[in-house]
Amino acid sequence: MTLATLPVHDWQFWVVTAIALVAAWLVLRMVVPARWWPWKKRRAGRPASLTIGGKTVPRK
Amino acid sequence: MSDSGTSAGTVAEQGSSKPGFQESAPSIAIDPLAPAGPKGPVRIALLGNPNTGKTTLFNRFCGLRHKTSNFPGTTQEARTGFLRADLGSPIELVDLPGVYSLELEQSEAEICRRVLAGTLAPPGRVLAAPDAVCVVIDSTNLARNLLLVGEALRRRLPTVVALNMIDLARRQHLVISPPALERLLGCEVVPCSARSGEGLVELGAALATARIANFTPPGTQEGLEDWAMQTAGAVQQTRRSARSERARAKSSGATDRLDRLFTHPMAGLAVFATVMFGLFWTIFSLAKFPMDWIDLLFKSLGGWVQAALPPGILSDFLANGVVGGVGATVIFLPQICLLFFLISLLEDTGYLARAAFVMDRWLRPFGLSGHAFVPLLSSHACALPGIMACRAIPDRRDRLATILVAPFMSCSARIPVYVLLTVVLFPGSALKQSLAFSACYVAGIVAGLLSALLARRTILRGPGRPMAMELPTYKAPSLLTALLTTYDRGLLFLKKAGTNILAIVVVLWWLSSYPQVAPPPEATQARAQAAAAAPIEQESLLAEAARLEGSHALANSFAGRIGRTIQPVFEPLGYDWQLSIGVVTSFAAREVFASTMAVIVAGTEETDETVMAKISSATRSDGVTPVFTTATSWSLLIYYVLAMQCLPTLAVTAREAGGVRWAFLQLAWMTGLAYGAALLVYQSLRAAGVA
Repeated sequence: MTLATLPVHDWQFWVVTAIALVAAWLVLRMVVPARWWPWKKRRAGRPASLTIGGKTVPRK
Repeated sequence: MSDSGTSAGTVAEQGSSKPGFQESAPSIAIDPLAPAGPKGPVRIALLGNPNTGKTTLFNRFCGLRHKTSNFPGTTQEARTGFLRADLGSPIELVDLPGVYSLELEQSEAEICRRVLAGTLAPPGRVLAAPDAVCVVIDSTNLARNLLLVGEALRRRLPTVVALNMIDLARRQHLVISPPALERLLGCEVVPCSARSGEGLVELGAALATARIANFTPPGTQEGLEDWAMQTAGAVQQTRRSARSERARAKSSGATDRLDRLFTHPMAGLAVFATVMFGLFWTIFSLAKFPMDWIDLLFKSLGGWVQAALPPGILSDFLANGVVGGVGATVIFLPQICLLFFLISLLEDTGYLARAAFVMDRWLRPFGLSGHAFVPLLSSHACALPGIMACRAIPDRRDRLATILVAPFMSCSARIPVYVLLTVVLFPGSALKQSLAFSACYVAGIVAGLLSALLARRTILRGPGRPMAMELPTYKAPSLLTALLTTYDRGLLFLKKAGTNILAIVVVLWWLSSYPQVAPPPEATQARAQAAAAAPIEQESLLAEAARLEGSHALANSFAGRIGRTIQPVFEPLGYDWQLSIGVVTSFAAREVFASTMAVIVAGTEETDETVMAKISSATRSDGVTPVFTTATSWSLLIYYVLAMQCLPTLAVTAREAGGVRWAFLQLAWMTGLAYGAALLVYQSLRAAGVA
């Protein structure tokens, strides 16, 4: 495959490609859990409905 | 926990145990996101037995729409919302899960105990005991509900007792004297009906002036039980005329007769199966018309986009990619709305609790307790709340087994795939479609039960616990609740179609449109022949050339190359590269399958057919073999019944089960089982000569 097989001289191609890239980014965000992103600062503890002193409720 | 309404409030002052209320009666302004006033929010906890209408009351006060039903244990977590009185101080209501006693060793009871003790607070709030407790009790079952009132009074917190379902008590000719009860309890008692709204203004006013009771109930369990019985006997009397007594006896007899039928080991199961089949048949029969309308609407929209824009990439992208792709998912909205509407009505009648009772006997041989019924039932809407509902299962092994098998239950995301495939398999027969649809649900349940049995016999070996559940009274279903549930679920589905599914569809369209390749020699030849042919033959030759070009372009696109790479994995199941792409893309969310099919197989040809018809009649690369043969469709159906195609579910499993290993086990087991079953079905049908 070469660039010639892509309609690079058509401005509409670049518009749909930009939209597709944004969509691909959204799909990636949806598929890969947030905590796996290297730039995501990991929060201490895990999300909880209710907390005791900032810590989750231990379940029995 | 839903954090609705919690974000706008500020942190309450530490130790502000005295309520900052004035004695003037507040007019209740519904404002779920009310900002905190100068004094900070005043926290009031709603406490009560299961199924006493706490969440209905909470929703009434806060203008929220949390799920309510005539089924004990619907609320599993504490939730907060704001009730704002005209006092400058917003009131934060904490809707606690229903408990029969604060002393039980259950996660719900522990949450209640800790909230009341001030050792547990909603995220972002300072740890402090609530400023007041509103104990919601069922007026028709006073003696049992007073046990919890007694336990709450022992906490020495400002308390108000909401005598809920007072309208139901009146209908049952039960006369309760609130002033007498107030004297005996030493705190304010307000008769009300959260369902009809009766007495809620008075209850709001009472909450504003809540005081610590000047009475402490007995400390021992026996003493408390005696006190509850005596108190209930002293304030409640039955005023029934001979005529009303006959009516009551008749009504009670009817309830007993219904219960005998609905909870009978065999007849109860038959009723359950009939109700479920009737539900699905109704869905298929009624949803057909709006589905056709939506299909036509999206087709017209696509046509309008193509007519409005000059021919080119953008026009093709919008008409075939965005409108066609999203339309292929939105088309299933009527089914989803109807399913939730009917289930909500059924839940509200009180029938589902009887169904749980019947199912307990059937769950036990598979190593699950009756407690698993509610999570498994919830999983039919979505596995996420179902898995979270497993917190209420007291036994760890029971809980883990239920979490592992909950995704086998057919969730609403599977509906588009089931509908698509059953329509392809049985075109024009609502009866056969609904039978196949019901069979998918049954297959999911059977697979879940057998998997639970296997888990309980191997990795989760151990004894089970018996189940006790209160059967709620039969009620006329609330149309409003059903409509609100339907609206919420429908909106959620549309939101998903407009975000996640749209994003996947856009990427798929790009991948299936590029790179562009030269037309195949056969197509060029067909066009040359068409130029020289008679007008009558010209049309068919041009159509054949267009089909060859479209098929060649798609096969050589990025999507085609990816599909052909992964196809060997799915080839034994009868899937070509187009279906292989559909299966892989729907790993993120099952409902994406329909949209993928719309973009990949239906988006290439311009015909007058609707999206569903295009998908049904789509052919493979050879232009002859249908994509959906009978054997392939059955194989796909089985695959989607059993496969774990939902990433958020895996994340919740890891969190709730307490380890990623459980999520991996779930993924490996479900996918392996789905692959094996689909392989068996396809190869068996092929061997039997079914094309």
